[in-house]
Amino acid sequence: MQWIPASALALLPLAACVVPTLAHARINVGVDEAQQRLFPGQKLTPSPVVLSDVQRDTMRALSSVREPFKSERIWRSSDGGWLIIDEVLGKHEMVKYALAIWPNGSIKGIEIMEYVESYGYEVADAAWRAQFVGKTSASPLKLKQDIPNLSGATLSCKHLTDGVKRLMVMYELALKDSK
Amino acid sequence: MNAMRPLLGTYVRISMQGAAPALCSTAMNAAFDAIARVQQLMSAFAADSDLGRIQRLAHQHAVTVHPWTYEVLQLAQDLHAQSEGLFDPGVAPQLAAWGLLPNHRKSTSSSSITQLTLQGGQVRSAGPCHLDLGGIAKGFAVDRAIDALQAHGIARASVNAGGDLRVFGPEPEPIYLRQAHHQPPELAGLLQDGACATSSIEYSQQHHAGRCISALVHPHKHTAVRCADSFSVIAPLCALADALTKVLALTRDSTLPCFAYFGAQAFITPRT
Repeated sequence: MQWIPASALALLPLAACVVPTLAHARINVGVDEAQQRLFPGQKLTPSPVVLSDVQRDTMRALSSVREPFKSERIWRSSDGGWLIIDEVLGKHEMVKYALAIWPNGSIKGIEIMEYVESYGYEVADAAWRAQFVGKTSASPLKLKQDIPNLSGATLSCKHLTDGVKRLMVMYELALKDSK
Repeated sequence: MNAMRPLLGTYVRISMQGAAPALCSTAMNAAFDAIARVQQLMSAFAADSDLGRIQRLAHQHAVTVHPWTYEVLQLAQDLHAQSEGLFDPGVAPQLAAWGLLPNHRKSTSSSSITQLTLQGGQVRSAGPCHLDLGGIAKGFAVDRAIDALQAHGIARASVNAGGDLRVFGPEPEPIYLRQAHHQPPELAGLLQDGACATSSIEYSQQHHAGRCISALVHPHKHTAVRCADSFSVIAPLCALADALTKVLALTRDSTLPCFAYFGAQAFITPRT
């Protein structure tokens, strides 16, 4: 193990301070890659559903998620499983994720596609939030440099758990019995 | 390759460099599987986890546990001894009383890791115990993920479980510190082949029965840390870094002999 505190970095030759490329890594998993990671080798067919107002009300009542759900981002796997893409906006984080469901209705896996940990002044800004909600591949997020090695107090993933809960309600209401 | 999954109650991120995509993919799955395994073994929320079985049965008869659980308990006892009792998963009853942990069926008013006797892969408890491995298991899970990546021949990577992280590779990696939610991260230093963990009350701080509480609890005084500073520890293993941040937060003394004993360095970042 070798540790050089930031306070000591000023004393080092400049070359030692160059930020390695790993610091520029970024969570940016596309739809194809998320599908591949969750359903390796399987063909996925788009299977959008139309949700009734009653179904949407039930989803809202049984989860604490208020954002509208975009029901066109649903796929069916060749073995009868499901893949759903959704977003959650927490107080501190914005997460786009893919949920995979086994044919028997249990959770197969969750892959984070985009993750933005925002700072107080950003998250309060409606325009900044708007670039996340409903974004398409044609409008990439305006992110600052990404930092993989960020230490700090642990942020709970409760908002994501709530989002998954809503999708499982939707599965029960709209997907489970579809042929 | 980068990947992130929700595990251990937080967002776990794995970043890899310099390996072929197919190898990265296999290594990444093995690393996430190792973390999920630790979660399953040491969860405070599942009655059939190793921890759940110890709490239910170990005061009646010896309970055989997974080698990883055994290792964590051994390490926890060593940390307890070296920190003069300041690291103690026995703070669980206090956390449960404050609603920060599920309430144990036979909740005991006080508990300690010293109640356990570890022998030959089995655990016995001197009496009913209530433990929370949340202060060490996250770091231990990061270490197991690192093992999995290295076993697959990955040469450079980092695993970050919601702020408790470990890096390895041929070059030092920059470590940033997020001190408070309203502040941008700052460079803390460069780390090669080591772990960094930070504790603060930033997200666990709340009010309970008119008192300000947090998840950082003093095992002797049963009081919560209320100081808003950030407590960071650099150590060879993430389990050590994770656990030692609790000792640092309780004492606010980075010169304690237990840090040097475990090959660790501690630093406090004052809240600005």
